[in-house]
Amino acid sequence: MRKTNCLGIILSFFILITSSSCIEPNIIEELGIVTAYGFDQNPDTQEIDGTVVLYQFNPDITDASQIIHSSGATFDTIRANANKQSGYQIVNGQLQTLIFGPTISEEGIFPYLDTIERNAAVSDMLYVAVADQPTRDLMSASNYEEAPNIGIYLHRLIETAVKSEVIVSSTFHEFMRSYFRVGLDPVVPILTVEDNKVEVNAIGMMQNDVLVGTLSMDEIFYARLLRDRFKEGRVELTMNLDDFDEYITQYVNDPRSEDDLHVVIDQLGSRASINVTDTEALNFEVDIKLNGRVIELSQRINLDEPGPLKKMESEIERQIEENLIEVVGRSQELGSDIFGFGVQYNNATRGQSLTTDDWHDLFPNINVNYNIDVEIKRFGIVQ
Amino acid sequence: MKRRFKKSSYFPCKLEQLEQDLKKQYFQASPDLASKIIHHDGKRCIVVFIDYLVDKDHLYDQVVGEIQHTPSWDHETFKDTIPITGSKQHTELNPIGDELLEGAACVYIEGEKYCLTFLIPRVEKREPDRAETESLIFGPKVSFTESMDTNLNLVHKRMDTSSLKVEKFVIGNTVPTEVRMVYLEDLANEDNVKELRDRLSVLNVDDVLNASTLTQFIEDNSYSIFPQFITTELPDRFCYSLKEGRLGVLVDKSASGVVTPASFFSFFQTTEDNYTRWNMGAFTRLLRIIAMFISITLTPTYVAALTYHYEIIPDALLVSLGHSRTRVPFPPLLEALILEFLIELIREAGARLPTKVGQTMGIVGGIVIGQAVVQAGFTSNILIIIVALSALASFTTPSYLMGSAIRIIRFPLMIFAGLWGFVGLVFSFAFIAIHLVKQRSLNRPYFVPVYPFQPRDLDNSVFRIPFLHSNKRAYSNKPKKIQRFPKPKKPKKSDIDE
Repeated sequence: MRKTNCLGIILSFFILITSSSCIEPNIIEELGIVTAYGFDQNPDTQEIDGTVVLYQFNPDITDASQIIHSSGATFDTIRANANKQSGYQIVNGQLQTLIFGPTISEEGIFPYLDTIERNAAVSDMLYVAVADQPTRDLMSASNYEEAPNIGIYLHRLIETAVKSEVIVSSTFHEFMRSYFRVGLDPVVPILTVEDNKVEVNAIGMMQNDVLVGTLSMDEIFYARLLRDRFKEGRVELTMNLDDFDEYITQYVNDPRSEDDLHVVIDQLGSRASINVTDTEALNFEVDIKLNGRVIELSQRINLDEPGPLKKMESEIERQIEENLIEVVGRSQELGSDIFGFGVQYNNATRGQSLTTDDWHDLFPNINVNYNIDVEIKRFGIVQ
Repeated sequence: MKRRFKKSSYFPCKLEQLEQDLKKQYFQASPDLASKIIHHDGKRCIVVFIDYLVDKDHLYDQVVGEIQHTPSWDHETFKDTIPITGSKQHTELNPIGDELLEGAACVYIEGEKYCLTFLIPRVEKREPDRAETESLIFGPKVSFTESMDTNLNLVHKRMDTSSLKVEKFVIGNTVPTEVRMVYLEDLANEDNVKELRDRLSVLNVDDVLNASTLTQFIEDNSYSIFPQFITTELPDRFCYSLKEGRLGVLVDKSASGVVTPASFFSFFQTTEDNYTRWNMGAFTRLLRIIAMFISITLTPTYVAALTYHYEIIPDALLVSLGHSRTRVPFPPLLEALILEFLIELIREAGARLPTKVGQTMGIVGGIVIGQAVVQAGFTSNILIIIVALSALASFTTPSYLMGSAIRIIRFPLMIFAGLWGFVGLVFSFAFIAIHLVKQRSLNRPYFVPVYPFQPRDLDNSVFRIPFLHSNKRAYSNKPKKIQRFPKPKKPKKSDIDE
């Protein structure tokens, strides 16, 4: 008994030690660790041009960043080709951002995401974004603040925007979930270069994996309102000052300079639910509950009174509804259901197997009715 | 050495004959065998003793002095007049030699039929001193000494109860050593007592060097890296364990006591955890367990992450880690092994050297070598932090033996992490976990209260909760009485703001 035990232990140690050479080591200083990829369609060939941003560690150079341009038909070929230009072994394990150029995003980006999904080493939390100009130019923008390289900067840029609830999050995981889910289309942030610095300037509406349109920074609020929920959001609305004429506290010698009233609401919490009221007629009802505090008013209006407060709330409701109708209407025209109406429709019509294509046919015909309830909780003490 | 004599009784004999025989037959003409012949009333009496084994004060005052003042000389009178308790009669030469070696003086009046011995041993011992290896900040500081008498005294003084039982064993063929098994009769589990008694009584070795050697003879699994019996130099801890229903062993000539059965977590406890209030006690106890975990995992994790799993390194650390690695000519495994070896080297050198030099050694080794090694590009400075941190963490373990085990177990873990990455690490941890779960201490589970899971024992083993809610002894020792005291009532509150 003891003898076999001993033999077993020796044998297992032997196997452990000899077979340890079967796993490939990735010693950190021998790696070129990619933090971002940019993909562009090469206009001349059928190939894809890749821009690879990577870390490599060199004792003498303080800048650990390098950008390599390579091309190939597939993601992995681009990586392999990039490796031909580098003495470091190029690996994808720390990948944080994927950016697709204008042409490629209009043709469909899914084929290039496939390899990421198969590779367990790559995090699902990387961001997928689209650039409004070739990524090669975008990624050579030289101002990336204190970040070690442009890849990290892009990641931080998008992450900050998502955390402050300015844009809708589009991590790889979320992108894939919306892509595969019937009745929901993915959104991606759209990046641009301004003064040699990359910034987020819109979000893109996708139909499946094809970019079909964009929403401006102001409109993103409405997409987020339906698709997500706000915890600490912020919105600015512009109202007609005439509606509040009776409530304005006029200062002496302060002539009325403009006709608009700008209202900023922050600490915005929201909860939206989409319900199907009629599956045949494609009637939807959206209930939105919003609450927040007024942090800025461009004119002096006394909100202590219930009258102006009520007026303000109903005005906000009206504005939001107007804007929602406009934004949803546009997405219907483009055939990109980024709000998830289709998901509710699919839930309501259990048994029929709705496909993504079916829904894209139905979506432009839906009718939406909005019930918005705005509550201003606090408006600050100004006296 | 010849010890047999054919004559049925050696006595009576001539005094010179006795002295000669003892010298020649027994001590090979030992120069230290001293004798004194006293004359009185025509009779002659000899006192034989070994010079350095007897207490001279006793010898001259109470043996030689009494003999000289006794008017009538015969052995019966001597037995009465000499006020030494351990007197024996011998008719043969053989046992006299043994007695002399234990520190007896042999008295013989010429012509008598037997010989008398009086036990007056001289025992060199030091006074109980402050504990060195297991020092307490907040508790009693006295430690065991090398004398069994002192140790028993220290234990008895702490536990003035009639239920304290002390059983005596003599172990060792070449050098017989007194071993005492100490326990509280009304608490200690009988199976445990019987098991330990069996192990001690069947023990057949030439020599028990020390308490820690004895534990190696009687422990459950000699192949395990983990100590199974607690070896402590604090009477305080020894007694605390007895009061928990455990058993203690004291070995003569050894300055530490042995406590059994021990659980893995009891090695991370000190009595201080009980002396401080429960919140600090619980914190320090958890700190030690976390430190143990850090000490075992930190370096292997570094090796695994840098060799195989660059994906898991947070991107904030990636640049500084990668940058510090660039000048290092070795793979991470070798780098870590070299540095861990260096730390062990400094530790061992510091331990072997006298205290003052040892401290200097620590500074030289730690600061100078550490700094130079990084600047020469032999290791990355992040690894220095990690290795120093895990060495520091391993020293938080109150038990020296357990602390050493934790330091040593890192090496195989590092090698597996270097060969297999996290897979190797997971395998090693599984191996250790299985080993710990299987382990026994005096046939009691070693890894209680985690396995077998004893939620009732968690209160004062892994955690430490107020005594208000923790009034029971550990179930896992199966003491005869579980409850230490009835649940105290909360004192009544009266208004203090009147």
